[in-house]
Amino acid sequence: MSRRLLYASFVGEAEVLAAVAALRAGGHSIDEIYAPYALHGLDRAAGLRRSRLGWVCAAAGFLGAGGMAWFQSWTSATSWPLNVGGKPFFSWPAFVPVTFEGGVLAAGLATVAAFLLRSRLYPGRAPSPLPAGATDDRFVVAVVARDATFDAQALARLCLEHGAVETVERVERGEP
Amino acid sequence: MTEALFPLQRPLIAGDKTAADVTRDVCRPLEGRPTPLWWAGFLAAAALLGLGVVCVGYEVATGIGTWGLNKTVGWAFDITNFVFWVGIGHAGTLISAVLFLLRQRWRTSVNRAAEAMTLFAVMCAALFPLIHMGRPWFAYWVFPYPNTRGSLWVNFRSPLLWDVFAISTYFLISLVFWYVGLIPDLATLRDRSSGRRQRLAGLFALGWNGALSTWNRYELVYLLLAGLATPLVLSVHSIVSFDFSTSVIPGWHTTIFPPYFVAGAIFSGLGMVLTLMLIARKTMRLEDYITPRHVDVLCKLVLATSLMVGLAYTTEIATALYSGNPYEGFAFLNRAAGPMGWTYWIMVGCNVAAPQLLWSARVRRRLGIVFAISLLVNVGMWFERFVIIVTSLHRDFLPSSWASYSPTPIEIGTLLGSFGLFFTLFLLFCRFLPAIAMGEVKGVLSHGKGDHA
Amino acid sequence: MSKPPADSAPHPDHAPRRGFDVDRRTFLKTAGFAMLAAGCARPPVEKAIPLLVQPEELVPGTNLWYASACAGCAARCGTLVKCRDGRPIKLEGNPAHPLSRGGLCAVGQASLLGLYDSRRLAAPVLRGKPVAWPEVDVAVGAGLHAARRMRLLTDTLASPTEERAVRRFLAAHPGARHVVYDPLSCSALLDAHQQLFGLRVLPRMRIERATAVVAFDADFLGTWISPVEATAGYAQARDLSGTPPRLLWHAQIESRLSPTGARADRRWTVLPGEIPLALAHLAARLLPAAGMSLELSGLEPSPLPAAALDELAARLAAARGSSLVLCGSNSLAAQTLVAAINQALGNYGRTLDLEQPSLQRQGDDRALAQLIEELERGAVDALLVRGVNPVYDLQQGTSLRAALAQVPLVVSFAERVDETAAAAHAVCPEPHTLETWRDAEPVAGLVTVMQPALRPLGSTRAFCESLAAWSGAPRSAYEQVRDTWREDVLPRVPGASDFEGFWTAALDRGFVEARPTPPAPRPFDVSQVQVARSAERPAPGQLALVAYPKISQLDGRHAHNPWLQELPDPVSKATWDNYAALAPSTAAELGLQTGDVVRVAAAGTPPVELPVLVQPGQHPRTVAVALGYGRAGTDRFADVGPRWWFGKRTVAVGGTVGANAAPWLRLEADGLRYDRVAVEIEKTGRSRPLATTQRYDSLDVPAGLAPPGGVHRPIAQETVLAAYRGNPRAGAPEGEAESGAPADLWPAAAPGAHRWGMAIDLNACTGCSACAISCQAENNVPVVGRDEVQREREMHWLRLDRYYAEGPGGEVDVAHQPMLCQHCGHAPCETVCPVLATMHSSEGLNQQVYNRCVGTRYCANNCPYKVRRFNWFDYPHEDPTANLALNPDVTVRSRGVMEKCSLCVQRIQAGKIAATTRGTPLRDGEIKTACEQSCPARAIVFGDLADPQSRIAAQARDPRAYRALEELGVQPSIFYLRRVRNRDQETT
Repeated sequence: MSRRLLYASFVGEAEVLAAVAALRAGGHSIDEIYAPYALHGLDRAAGLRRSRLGWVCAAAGFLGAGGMAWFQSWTSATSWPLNVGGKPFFSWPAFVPVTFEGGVLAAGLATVAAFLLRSRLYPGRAPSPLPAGATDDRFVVAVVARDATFDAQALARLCLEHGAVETVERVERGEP
Repeated sequence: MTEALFPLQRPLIAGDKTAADVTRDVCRPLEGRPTPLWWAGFLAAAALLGLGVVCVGYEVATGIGTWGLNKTVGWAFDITNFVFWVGIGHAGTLISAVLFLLRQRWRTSVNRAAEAMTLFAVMCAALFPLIHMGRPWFAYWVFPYPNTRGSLWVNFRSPLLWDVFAISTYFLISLVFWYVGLIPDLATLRDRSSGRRQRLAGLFALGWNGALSTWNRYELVYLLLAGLATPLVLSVHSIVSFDFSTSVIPGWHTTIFPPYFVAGAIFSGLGMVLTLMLIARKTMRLEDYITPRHVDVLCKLVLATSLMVGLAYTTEIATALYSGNPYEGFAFLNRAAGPMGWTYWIMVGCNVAAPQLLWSARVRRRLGIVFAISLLVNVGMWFERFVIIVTSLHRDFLPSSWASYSPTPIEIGTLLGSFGLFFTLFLLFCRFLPAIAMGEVKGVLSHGKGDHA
Repeated sequence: MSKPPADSAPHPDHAPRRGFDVDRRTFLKTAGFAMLAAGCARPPVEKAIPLLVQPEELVPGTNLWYASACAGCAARCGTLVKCRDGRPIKLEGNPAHPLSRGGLCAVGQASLLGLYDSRRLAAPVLRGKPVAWPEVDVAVGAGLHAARRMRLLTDTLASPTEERAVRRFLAAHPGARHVVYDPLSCSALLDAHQQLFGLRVLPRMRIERATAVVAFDADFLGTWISPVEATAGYAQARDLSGTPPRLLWHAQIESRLSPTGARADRRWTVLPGEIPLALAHLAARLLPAAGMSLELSGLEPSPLPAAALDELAARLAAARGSSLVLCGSNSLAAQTLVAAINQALGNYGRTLDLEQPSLQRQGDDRALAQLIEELERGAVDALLVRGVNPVYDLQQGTSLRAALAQVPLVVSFAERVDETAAAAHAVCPEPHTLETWRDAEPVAGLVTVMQPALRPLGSTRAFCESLAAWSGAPRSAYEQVRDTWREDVLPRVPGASDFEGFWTAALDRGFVEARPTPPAPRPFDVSQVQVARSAERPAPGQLALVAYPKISQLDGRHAHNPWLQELPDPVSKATWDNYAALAPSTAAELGLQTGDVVRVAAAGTPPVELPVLVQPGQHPRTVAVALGYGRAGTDRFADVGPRWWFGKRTVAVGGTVGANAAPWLRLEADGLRYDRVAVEIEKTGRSRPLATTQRYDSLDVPAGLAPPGGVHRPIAQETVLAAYRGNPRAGAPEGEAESGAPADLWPAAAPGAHRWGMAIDLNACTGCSACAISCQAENNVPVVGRDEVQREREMHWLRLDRYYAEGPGGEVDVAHQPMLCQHCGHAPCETVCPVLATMHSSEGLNQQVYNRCVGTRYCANNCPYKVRRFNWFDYPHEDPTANLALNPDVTVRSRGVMEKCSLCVQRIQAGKIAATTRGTPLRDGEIKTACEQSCPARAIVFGDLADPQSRIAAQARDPRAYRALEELGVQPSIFYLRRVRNRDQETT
């Protein structure tokens, strides 16, 4: 099936905040908001929840650290114990730095990987066709038609009242 | 709310820019032809790099003997350069991560370049542990991989091995941090360019379209990375300092090294950031983005860290003399008054004396003087590492083994070469990537302006 | 018995005898050829191993030992030659030999390398062209036939076979005369005994019997006559751990600081020309007491302070019969006075042996003077030169060269075309000692066989063979030696009848003890004593010059030996050069410092330019220059060491290593003098930094840099006898706990079967550096060349640290300390290696794994003793043939890896294997490290600390024992035993 969308572009931060608030108040369903930079408050206005990537970070961190700690102990005390400077084979204080580094590395890489996967960001992905300036200075609010009562003109008027510099209506085909 | 606090009553970005202006200004140097100034700098840097390649090639082919080292002084320029560059590499992360956590919004103008600087500095640093080996072609033996020798693993008790892990972790995390920050700007670049540039930018922009849900996660990821990078930056230089503090050599075997080294690293890094900022500001016409206020704040940080290293210098001498350990005491007296004392006084002069000028706001506004001071800081911090390494080694326990040290042209060429590498990379970066984080600057345009709540 | 037990070679009882059946000959021939080939192509001998017919008794990979004797100098110490797969790879002292008692000096150790010198002549040379022997024999034969006045000029032979060959040769050539001189002459000493006892002999010094020794300019522990024997005796006479403990009192009066002087308990400096006068004053104090009437009035005032003379006289008188006065000066007056003093002290027959005199010096400088006079007159028809190099080592060198041109036939036996051979018509090269049969009688009644270890590498011919050939009765050296032993030696050995048995035993043992021809000394004739009433002193503004032999170079006959060239002088620590040594005060006066080049000018000799070395402990009005340098052909070392963009050559092409000091010698009526009364020194303004291995000379840190209480570093600890008597631990830094187990952070590692350790008695060590060369030979330690030493990169695993301190009366005290890897239990080097290239063995060894090392040098930085050595470059032998001397048991290290002392782990393994095959446990002392084995003073003891009965364990318990930098808690396995100076009060 196909979707009807209305793209409204704003320039001012205040305008877009107000417009989003109005649209949600008007019971319109905002499909997505495209921003050239992270505008604080916009996510709250759009009613987005906080991401759960933090858990990935924590889990990966502890896994990495634990793994390094085990690996060092195993190589130094079990796999091939050697007398190095008369220190005990399991000389754990010496293993702390690498353990820490292992944790940080795993946490960092895992978090970013998870972020890219979750946001479907990958090389060669085609960017969704947006009105000009979306990555320059324009905030683009995409309102999707929920049912036949969707009145593009009225919606466009509403946006323009809230200071939209431009509104475009599009029909997306193919995707469910 | 923190944004409202000083230094943010006044606009961060001069010239009353709109987001569109930002995009235009930042992308201009990328889209136009390179300026003659850029070419001049690039060729000079490339020439130095060439010199370095020759020197390193000759050293690897002939032997470490082509350096001025001897039976007593086993490290000198090599590890000095290593620690120096790692230190430089720390300011980038400091500015992008620590200041981010501290909500210092002024950082947005400088963090991109600072992060790039970090990457290139760490590359230069990582070069030295590699080429300082007698048999660099076996360098991969420092990694614990299963092998047919037993498996014979590595010595996890060796600070050098900690270095291996610390430096590689630091490099990877900084790279990721920098790249994640770049994604939105690459998208911007993609959308305003065409042809090969567009395809290239598009490839690395990963199809970024600025969807708010993505921005939402992006902010968190950025926060998490900053949260990881901050302890990392502290750990890395602490570990570098372990190379010395865990040894038995008087002058190395010192417990204050970790904080001392971290402070020094940040100090030197800020010095280098200042140097680069002031150059970039002029050569790339970014006066509106890198305003005197940025310089002013950086100067204050330089001054603060300078006082920290000053404190460290005095502390270690006090400890040494008060310890009653004759070898320890001698090591420090020899440092200041021995045959290599002059290096010590260069260090003190550049790192402690010179920055005191920055107490004066007038000096901080005179960008020429600030630039000079920033250069002195770089010099002084290089000498700090030289002093720690060489003056401690050349006269240790047995007077029979006391030796001197002087570098060969090969070593000097290698040092110059590392600068060549650094500036070559940095100039290429300025040429092909947005040197200022547009996405972030746009976010702070409104700060200090009436229309923001 | 001529085989260290630690070796699994077959018993050499049979080795030498069966050694000469066809099998071994064929084998050695092949080996020999392979070695010749190796001159141009590596890899060498290994090619020769897989013979179709294996010679029995030769097991590849095991060692064969042959008893022989050292020809490094005239002392002829007994040696054992270690052969591997047909090549000699190490020389060691023969423990059974009465002279060396197992020790062997640096020169002896290094003489092995001479065997593999590809620049030795491989064939005789006739008028500059290499030819075959028959041609030479024809030419020389003709020349000798025509010659009426023939002179045979040699150094001391001290060899029954060679003397016999010479006798026959002279008999076959009427009008021929044999002239003997020693480049390091003792002629006056011999003449003195001729005059006083009617015997021209060298009394054998029995220092081990002495309790007081006073030496005037005699470097008897370093270079004089028989240093290894002397050192062994000296150590015996100063053994504080022996029963009963002994501590010989030793005073040295000399003009320069010799290694022997560095050991003295009391030391005074005088001018060389003042020594006879000083002796006269001493005699005046000692002779009357012995009722010897000698007119000693009218003496100039003594150069020695009266107090000194009193102390010397008192000490000597107190030690009547067990004292010893020695004098190295070649002045008849001095020597007769010394003899008189020794006679007065009743030392003859006790500490001076005339019954079994030394034959190690027989040179007659009067005869030499006469020969030179004849040569200059053109009154010589034929001159045969052997073992000496008159053109080089005499003052008249240059004029002699001209004189030789007038002689119709000059034959040289030199192994290479040296300065004299260059002026010879025929050069008949002799084989290396290890290539031919010889014998020696260094001390009357001690006859030593010198058997070869391989066939000659070149077409060379022994001295005695050439003489025999020219006497018309050609006979091989082997046969000649056997003849001599059958006819001359056998009869002198009590209870020996069957020759073959006697011969085999002799070869096995290396020597026999024969009846000395009983000498009949005339009663001492005091009237013959010459008294020097005045001294020779330089005029104001001039200096006296002393030309002295150096431990590593002696008279220069080893100048082609890179090991010796790079061996640091025990006192100055300089390598690869000789230099003008000046006292600090003098240098300051002249505004000179070490490295400044000066022009030294003496009357009648061309000025010579030398770098200055500021030498504490030297007489302010002297300049000392080492002999043995400036040899022709030493520019072969131009290519020693690495060649790289900024590297400097060791010696300029066409130049020489150092400068020759011989032109300053004087041939006086009574003998060769090694000093010049007056020379002038002139600045050139240029400078040539010396390649010294030690740049800071004191255990006291520079005054300005010393933290409170941190001036002196107790690294080489010492005390004085008075204090030691009161407290055997005297000399330990105060506050140091009784050396017990130090506090330890970690649980002790599981103990292994052994815990190897070493103890070094600083009281015995003389700094002679034999250990350093022995280590170099055993462990394939490379030579790096002058520039690398200059850059402080010498590779010696075992170095001798030397420290100066101010002794009583402002004289300088010298401390020597052998420094090697301390094999720390908590080794700082091990912890820091990222790739586990150095770790600890279960037997307490700190092991370096060369093939794992990536060369970060962190271990060396973190070593408190700085004993680790890094391969900055590849350091190949400058002479590829020398690779044949490599020890196959020890890895040759490549560029970029760290190396260091391994406590001769290869010997430890060999010992353990031997014990296992034997099935009995290791015996204490069965394993000897190379340094321990070679030490003439027996100062080094290696063993198992885990065995409480072992010598090492006992030494570690000795109250004198301490460990360097023990306070660091690194738990070294090397113990040092404090030196005790025989003095009453602490050094100021």
